[in-house]
Amino acid sequence: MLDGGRPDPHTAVVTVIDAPPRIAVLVPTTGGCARVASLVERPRLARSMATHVDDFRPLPIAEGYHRLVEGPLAALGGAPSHWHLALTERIDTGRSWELPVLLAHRALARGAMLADVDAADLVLWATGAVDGALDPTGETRFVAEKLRHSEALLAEAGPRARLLVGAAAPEAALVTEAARRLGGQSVHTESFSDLERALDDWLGAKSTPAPPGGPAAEPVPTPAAETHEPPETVTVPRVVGTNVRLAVIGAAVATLTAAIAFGLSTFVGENSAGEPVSEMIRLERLTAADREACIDAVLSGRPLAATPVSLEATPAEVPGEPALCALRITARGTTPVRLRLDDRLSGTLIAGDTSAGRVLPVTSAAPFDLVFRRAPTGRTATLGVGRGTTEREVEIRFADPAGNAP
Amino acid sequence: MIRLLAAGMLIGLSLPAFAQEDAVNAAIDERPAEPRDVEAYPVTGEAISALRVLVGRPLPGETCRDALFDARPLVRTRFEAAAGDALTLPLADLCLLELRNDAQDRTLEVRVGEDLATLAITADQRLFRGLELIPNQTTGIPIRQLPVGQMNVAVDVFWSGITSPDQVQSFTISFVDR
Repeated sequence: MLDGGRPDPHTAVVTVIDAPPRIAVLVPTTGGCARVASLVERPRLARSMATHVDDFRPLPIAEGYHRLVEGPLAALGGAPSHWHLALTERIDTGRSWELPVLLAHRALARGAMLADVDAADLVLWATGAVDGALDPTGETRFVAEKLRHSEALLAEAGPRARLLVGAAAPEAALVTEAARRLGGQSVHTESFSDLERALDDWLGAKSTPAPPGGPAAEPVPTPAAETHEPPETVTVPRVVGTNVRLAVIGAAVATLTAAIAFGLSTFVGENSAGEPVSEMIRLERLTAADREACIDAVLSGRPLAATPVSLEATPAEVPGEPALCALRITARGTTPVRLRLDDRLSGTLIAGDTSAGRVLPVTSAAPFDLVFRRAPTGRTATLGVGRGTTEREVEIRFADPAGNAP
Repeated sequence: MIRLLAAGMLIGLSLPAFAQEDAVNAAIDERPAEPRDVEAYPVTGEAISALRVLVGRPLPGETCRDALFDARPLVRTRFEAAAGDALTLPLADLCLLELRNDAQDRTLEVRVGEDLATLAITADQRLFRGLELIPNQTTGIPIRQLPVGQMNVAVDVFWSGITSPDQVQSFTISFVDR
């Protein structure tokens, strides 16, 4: 039963919580990581404004924020009003603040309250621009840098972290990986409805405040409902107010929890379909007679012997012999692939750019050589390979020819 | 008087460091940047003002082989480019070329002539098609010394997102083996 409403045959009240969920909303940028310090409705303002938390002067993004509030956000319904967004860090350019700020608005509309990271029940991290329909748009860039700038706050958040990025972001896989490491969750959202469903899951699963005389509850399918037969619809009421009694839908909780635990949400994670790694790239090991010959060849530009590495099995085995000079990665087909190498080969690679920790596009015409400063004997690394919406990972193990453990 | 004495002692103590730096620069045949140069190249509205070219050479008595494969320290020298200019870099003992965006809040896009691929041991391929450097980001290219005579590599620099070709600035890096 929903507080203040009629008994609902599809729901069962199992608990009542007096406190609204507390959330921290992080707005990562290429220069740092801001947090939404406050988001307050200010009907007496002439227009919506965005400021630094300690300042009254509008930030350069204030004009864009006003357009967001008076345009697509206002189109969602409700009385037109103006808002004051206060951020803990300055954001001067770009549009990637739009998605997290939208997330903050929609979370508050569900009755959530803003909090600092240490006090929050959930820490929401998002990056990307939105269009007139509030769908993610454009190419979300510099995800790796933004994650790096958010490292400390996300580490503090741990499993409370919820990361959201547009599905078209070239580096979206990094977000999945970051969430996995934290024990949190990630969502690759294709539309505003995905974002709404994610918030329903995140805020509704813990506490679903009922609208005291507010708008009617809307039936929202849960991820579990989408993956089980027969389809089941659970009523998740929209939220109004800050001090409402919160009802948790009992029957849905167990299913939803299990679904989240299994990562079954249909809009989360990597594709299970799509081409295998071996069809996206060709991997070759480049070798010479010995280490000295290897270095001579690299410095003089002389060719090295190339031997294909099988990617059919995982981990892919590469002899970590001293004569291993480099790995050559070439895209198969005409479409470029995205490479992402974790940092477990650090210390073995030559100075300069590598794909370690960032995404590197590679084409069939221009292979990428991962040149070793010294043989990575005994190491194992994970190579992420993506093309289109497919993201794959392959472990590469550099076996010790002497059979020693790493 | 006491302050003067203290200042004199500090200068005296720092002389060996200056001497060492001079020795390093003499060894690599490059003139150290004057201290005023640091202030003479502020980042302005022109994209090229934000680009720094850094050259890494081995320590005196060492080689690029030591620097690149034994992870020995590199001696870095910084250059500022000017639109239309040519920057001549001797290839001898040139181990690493780095391009850095010194702008605090603007993304720079750099496109380098394909000729550099000949000298690059490995490189991000986007460098040749247009590589975005976010504020303070550096891209590094390990270099091999080949007998190329003189190789002129064009470098285009522009603020990311611009649409007018008029806003593209160019200069040339001239690699010389001597």
